[in-house]
Amino acid sequence: MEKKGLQSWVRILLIVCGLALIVVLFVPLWGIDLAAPQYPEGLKLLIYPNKLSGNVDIINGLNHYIGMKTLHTEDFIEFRILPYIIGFFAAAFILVALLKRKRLLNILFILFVCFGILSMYDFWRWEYNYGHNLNPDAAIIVPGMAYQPPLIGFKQLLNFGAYSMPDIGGWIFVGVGVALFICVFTELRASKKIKKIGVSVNTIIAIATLTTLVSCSAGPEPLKPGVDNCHFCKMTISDVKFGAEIVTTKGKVYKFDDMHCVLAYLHTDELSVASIKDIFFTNFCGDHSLISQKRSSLLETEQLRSPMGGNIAAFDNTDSLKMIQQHFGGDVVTWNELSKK
Amino acid sequence: MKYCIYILSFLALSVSSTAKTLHVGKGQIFNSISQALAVANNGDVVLVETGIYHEKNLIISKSIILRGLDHPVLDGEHKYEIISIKANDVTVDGFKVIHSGVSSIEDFAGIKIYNSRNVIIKNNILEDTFFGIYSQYGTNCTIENNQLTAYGKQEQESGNGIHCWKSDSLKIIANTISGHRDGIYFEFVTNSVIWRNTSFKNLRYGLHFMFSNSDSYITNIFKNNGAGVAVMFSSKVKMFHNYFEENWGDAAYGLLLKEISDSYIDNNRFVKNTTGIHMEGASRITMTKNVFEDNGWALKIQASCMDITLNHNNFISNTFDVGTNGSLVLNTFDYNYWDKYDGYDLNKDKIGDIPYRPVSMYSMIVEQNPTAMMLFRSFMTSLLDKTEKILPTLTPEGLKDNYPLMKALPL
Repeated sequence: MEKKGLQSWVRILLIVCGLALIVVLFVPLWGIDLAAPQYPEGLKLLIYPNKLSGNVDIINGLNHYIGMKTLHTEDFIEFRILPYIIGFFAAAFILVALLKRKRLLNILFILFVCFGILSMYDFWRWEYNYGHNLNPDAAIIVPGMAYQPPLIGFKQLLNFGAYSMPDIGGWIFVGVGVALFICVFTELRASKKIKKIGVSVNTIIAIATLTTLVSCSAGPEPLKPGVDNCHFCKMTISDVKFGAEIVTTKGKVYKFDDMHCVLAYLHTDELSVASIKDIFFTNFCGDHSLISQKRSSLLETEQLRSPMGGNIAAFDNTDSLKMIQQHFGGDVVTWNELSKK
Repeated sequence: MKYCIYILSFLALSVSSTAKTLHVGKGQIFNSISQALAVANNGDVVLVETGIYHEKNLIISKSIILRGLDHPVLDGEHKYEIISIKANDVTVDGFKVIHSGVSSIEDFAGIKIYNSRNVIIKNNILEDTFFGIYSQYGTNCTIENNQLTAYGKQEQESGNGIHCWKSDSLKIIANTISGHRDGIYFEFVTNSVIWRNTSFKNLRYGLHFMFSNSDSYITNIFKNNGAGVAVMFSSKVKMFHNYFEENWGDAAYGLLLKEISDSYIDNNRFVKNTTGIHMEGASRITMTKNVFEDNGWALKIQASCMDITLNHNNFISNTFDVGTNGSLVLNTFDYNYWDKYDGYDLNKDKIGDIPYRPVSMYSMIVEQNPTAMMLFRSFMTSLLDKTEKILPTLTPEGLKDNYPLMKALPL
């Protein structure tokens, strides 16, 4: 079977549709029913592809009282053209089925949809003209009244209820349109199955990559002022200059707002010394980045007034420490001294 | 002749004892406050007319009264500390202080007290200041009827509204504070009182106590602060008749107590907070006649608390009445009203005949796994609570109210 060809059931369906369109030539397309107390059985106007039928004479007699133009088959050029258009589509359906070209199927679908839209517009235009262009010498004149029947559905026109719906031919047209859409959609989806598989593979690869990247991060996290909370005293961290972090061997991060809290937390022995991977302090100067405890110098002075009274600042080099020491005074301390207290 | 000498002496004495009033303003003797301060002597009054003054840090080193007429504006141009008080017996009254400097090292304030006693700061308006009113080594100072507003969006670029450090015998009365980091901050402050203040919409705490003993705060309103109120590392604190309202957030508490002891919490109202009171490391606290209403947790009491006495309180419409993280309970809950209590009173003494256990099984689970909060009000949680009633395994046995009241106390 050709790759560009149509599936066999699609071809069969197209042939059936073509034959159905031939049937349309002999059955009414549309019907407008008029109901009123004077006509208990109702009046019916049937629109065939090539003529008007039903109670045309009675309706014309009624319409002349309100000044509506009389209805005659000869007044509508559509009744001469429509049979040939329907014949064209019937032949086209069968031809596409025989030639098995996908491109022709798509073109046929577009043409059919355009024909349907154009038909409904023409019908509406016709209803509008007959409903609004009334004879000024009519016996019954209601100022501002228009007698345009509804395009689809129900509408009350004086004492008549007008009901407009497709008839057998119209429903066949709708069915053919739906069937054609199903054919086009099926053919379209079949050609995209390979792409879908490709997309799925790419998605899986992307998810795996992201998971790997996320699960590998185990370093310290920057302290976010106003968002993070001290793990020990539960205060919101608002001054990151004195902040600190403990990172465990498993990668868990504990955040603190002050040296006092780090020391107090370590004294609670909730974490064993072996499970602590590293302790980080915030650099008092510069951009307040995190520095490892092993590479930090510590200055203790009461004038620092840290959030929890620890009053210890960390620096990544001794020059910064001396500069701040000149400003605030204080003593240099080591982590070993502090952690023994 | 003898009488002439006496008369001349009296005349000289009366002349030298007259205090002066120095007027500052357009068309006055002095154009700037600095000039007036340079000329003034102890006991003088410096009267400042309305207008805008760019004084580049006024330093008050004499015992004077600095008074503004119709709130003259002192503009710090976002560079300076605006008023520095370095003398005793100073009064600053009726100014509008705006645009102090901002620094991460210097604590720039609108008005700062350096090692002074008997200072009165009252009737001022402070706007867009880093620290509002700052007292260090202040003694017997009064901060009264000031209005403080700040507009910092980030906590690290914002200072505290009323900040007191190593001070004693302070009176903080009837101030309104909003928009600062902490509304009122006490650190190493003793024997002081905070009375009738309103602290709302501050970035972190409405009130913050650190290492401050023998203080009281009475009849204040703390509302809509980022993290509520915190009292830490303090003892002998009295908390009476305050309102703690609408402090929402996962680290927000109506009142956060940590490492505090020998304190009283009486007649307060905790309404619409994530947690009414969170207690950790608290000892010998008496809580009486408080109302806990519409909170997420009325009370979170950690296992590290001892000798907490909770009597005659109302617990109404809280999602959880009490949460705890351990089974060891060394505290007393008696004669409280619990709206969830469904026991009975057969002997009609208005006290329930069955003890009430305010900690539900689900709250124990949520304490261990906060994300389990998603399951709240699901069928599964009802099932768990019912199961716990039949076969109790998680609920701490000792945490119970032996005398639950059948009716709410009229508080």
